[in-house]
Amino acid sequence: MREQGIRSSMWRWWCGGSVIGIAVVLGCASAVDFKESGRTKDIATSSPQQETHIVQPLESSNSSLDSVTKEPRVKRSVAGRGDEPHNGGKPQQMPITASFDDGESIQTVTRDKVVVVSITADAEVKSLQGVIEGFEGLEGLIRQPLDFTSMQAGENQLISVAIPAKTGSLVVRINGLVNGQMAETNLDLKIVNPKEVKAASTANKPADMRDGAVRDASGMLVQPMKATEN
Amino acid sequence: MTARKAMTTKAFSLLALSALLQSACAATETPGSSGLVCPASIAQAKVDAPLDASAYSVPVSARAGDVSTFSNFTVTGNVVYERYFPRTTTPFGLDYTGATVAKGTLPVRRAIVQVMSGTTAIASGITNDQGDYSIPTVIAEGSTIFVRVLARSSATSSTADGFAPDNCVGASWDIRVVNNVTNNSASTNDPSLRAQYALDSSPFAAPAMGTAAVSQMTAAITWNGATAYTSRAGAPFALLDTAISGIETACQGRANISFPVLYMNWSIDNTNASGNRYDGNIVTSFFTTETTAKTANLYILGKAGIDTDELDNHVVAHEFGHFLENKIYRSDSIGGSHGSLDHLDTRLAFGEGFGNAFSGMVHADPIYTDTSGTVQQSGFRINVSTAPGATATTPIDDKGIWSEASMQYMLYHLWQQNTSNFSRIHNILENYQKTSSAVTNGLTFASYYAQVYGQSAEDLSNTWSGAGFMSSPITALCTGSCVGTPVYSPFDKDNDLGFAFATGTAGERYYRQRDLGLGSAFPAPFWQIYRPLVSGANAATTHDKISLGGYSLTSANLNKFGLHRLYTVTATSNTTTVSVSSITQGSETCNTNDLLDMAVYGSGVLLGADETTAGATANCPRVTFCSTAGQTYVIDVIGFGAVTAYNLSVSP
Repeated sequence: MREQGIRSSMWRWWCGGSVIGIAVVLGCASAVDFKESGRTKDIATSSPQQETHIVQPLESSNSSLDSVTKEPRVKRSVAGRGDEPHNGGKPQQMPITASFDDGESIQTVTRDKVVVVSITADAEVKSLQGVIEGFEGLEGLIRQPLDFTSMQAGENQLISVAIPAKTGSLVVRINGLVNGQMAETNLDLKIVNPKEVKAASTANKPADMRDGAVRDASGMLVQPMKATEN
Repeated sequence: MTARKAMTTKAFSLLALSALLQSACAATETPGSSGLVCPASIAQAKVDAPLDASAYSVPVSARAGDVSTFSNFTVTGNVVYERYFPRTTTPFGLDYTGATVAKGTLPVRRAIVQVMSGTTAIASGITNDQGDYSIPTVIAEGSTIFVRVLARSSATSSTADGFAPDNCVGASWDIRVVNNVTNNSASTNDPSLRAQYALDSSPFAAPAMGTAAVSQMTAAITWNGATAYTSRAGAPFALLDTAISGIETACQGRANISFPVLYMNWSIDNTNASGNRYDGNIVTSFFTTETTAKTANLYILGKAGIDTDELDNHVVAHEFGHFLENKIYRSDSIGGSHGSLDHLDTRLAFGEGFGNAFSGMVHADPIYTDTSGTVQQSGFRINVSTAPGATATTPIDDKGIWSEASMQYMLYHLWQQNTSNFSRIHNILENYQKTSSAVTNGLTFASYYAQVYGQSAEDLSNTWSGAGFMSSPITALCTGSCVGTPVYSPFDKDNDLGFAFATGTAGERYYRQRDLGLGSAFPAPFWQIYRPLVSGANAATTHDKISLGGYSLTSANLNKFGLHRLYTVTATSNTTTVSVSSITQGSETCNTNDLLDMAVYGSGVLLGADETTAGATANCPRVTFCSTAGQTYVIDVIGFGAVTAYNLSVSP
């Protein structure tokens, strides 16, 4: 069950089957965290209203496609431009990002709780199908289909998910049409229960990658892997 | 209006750079009008990072023992790695069943092999291009030893091994495939804390004098047929193999390239979550440089069920292409999110197009495949040898230097036409584009290619101008008409592109978000790649506007064509000031918002920038930089929102 929020702002929020209309201040310009590359996010200043896109012709001759928006965006320093992760060799990247509602990709849990997944589109996606499902330590425990079938550029969706206190991932799997072409993405949101991190990391490793790193006599740190031998 | 961010870390870096520049300037000659003190000329060429000579030493120690019992023997063998290939029919996921392509077993090429006694390497060698190795070894007979193959290749003045390809004779490199998931923040700035992947044989007893010890090793990759890999040791070697192919491709252009050290960071935990790289949260596969030494690093996704890229060898080669651009050639790419159908800043379009094309060249396979998803059974593929062209159902315009699809096609086609050889592309990238005062984009590349090899070479003219290809005027590559004895220029000063694409012309083109229909056309000045500025006032034309073309104003879209307006200034003094003198956008004035920034480049080197977020230059940026009279500089006016028009001024 969900509620259609202010349609012009493409803002919806629902939680645990009941509707909660909350004007949450959220930054949704991008789920990509640019901290690693010296970027900053401007997440504290946006609002649902600021997500609105107002198409307003500026010059009748040639500017009818220019949008006047008051949406937050990251002003990227010239000096570091180009250093950040681009698409990563992925020319047909689905223009959708996901994070938790605090803008992060990781949630630490010590007991069962409800988390909020924030999904944002950078471009229009049609015929959208998707699901949020548990993975690794959460595999088989969560499967929550997305109940919207399109997203507009800049639109944000918030989805509440009840999770047990286990280490694993919530994976947002989405496919849809972008510019008439099918695209898809699988976005990894991590859930970490500090009490079981070690056990979880070992359980997911292939047999030849379970040994820990060792130092050789020269001091070089080595990640040994067992060879298959004839 | 929108609140703006505080000064970023990078901005502080820029301030530091500016401070250094001013400090350097201050040591010489007379003050300029701004108070800057500039030298008569300043070095601008980017310099390759120095080779990390210490990286090439792989310690080998003699094992202490009773000399009288030492055995002198040879450890020989062969090392291979396994890999799966993507399906050739939809869905383009990894083919675990071998239905279309059998699982591959390929030689581990040029990897360091060590004979180990305990933790000590007592001898070492390197595999040849067939994966064979032969290492003379001395240790007491019966000692327990094993063979360790590092997912690392290093060479100083490499020699041919007789197995093709052998293009890199005289070259030096050091490529290390390491595990970036250390859960230790200290490894962020210290790559020695990232473990070097290594394949270990079973222990065996050192044989008698003169007896060969043989160790045949396989780095396996095995999918269990259901939900998990049971072995992935082949992954680091698959990455290394693509890198070897990458350097061999580059060496077609120059055999003795000194490649700086490259860390290829991969882990089974590398996923598309954002966060700390040392926790595996790398967002995507990408190239970057780290620390003040600007050490080259690739990060490659590896999390099964989400996105694994180690077997997507085109993705890896694409990122390796960015390594070459950054360290051997030059990239002015502004980065950011992009797609093959986007109208991008031309610098970004060239860089991404180069990455895609290079991946096809490296593997001599134009089919670029990227697998992902549940059981790695999803994916997409593109054919980089397919000419750009809007289809009836997708009202896009990917025929131009703003399109990575055009750039990848142009470059791949040149390579194909040059007997699938990279030499000419390398020559242009290393010896012309790298030092050009123009930015690194398709116009720069093509004009130099035409200058050096002729505009008809490798079908360049047809690729550039053909209606079924880029549909751009060939005259854009020249000053004048390109006939007779053409004078090629990377600046298109007479704006042939603009006049060909302008509103109302037969070649009318459209700048817009990929799926917004035909949208609106623009007059000629808008399409001009660089507007030449003159000393004094430069009244606004239709070039001097920030247009979103229908793109929404998000962080991801700040790299689109109409948000970066480029200019050239030919300096007349050792100090030059460029400024936006006024702005026209609603009720905006120079200090009411921060809609414009400015950066100044000399041959790709950032010389100054105004990113002020408040005050008199927030909307009207102003940069004073040290210049050399007669030199041409590129000005980038960067938009953070639609701007109807702005005037500029140059002094002197």
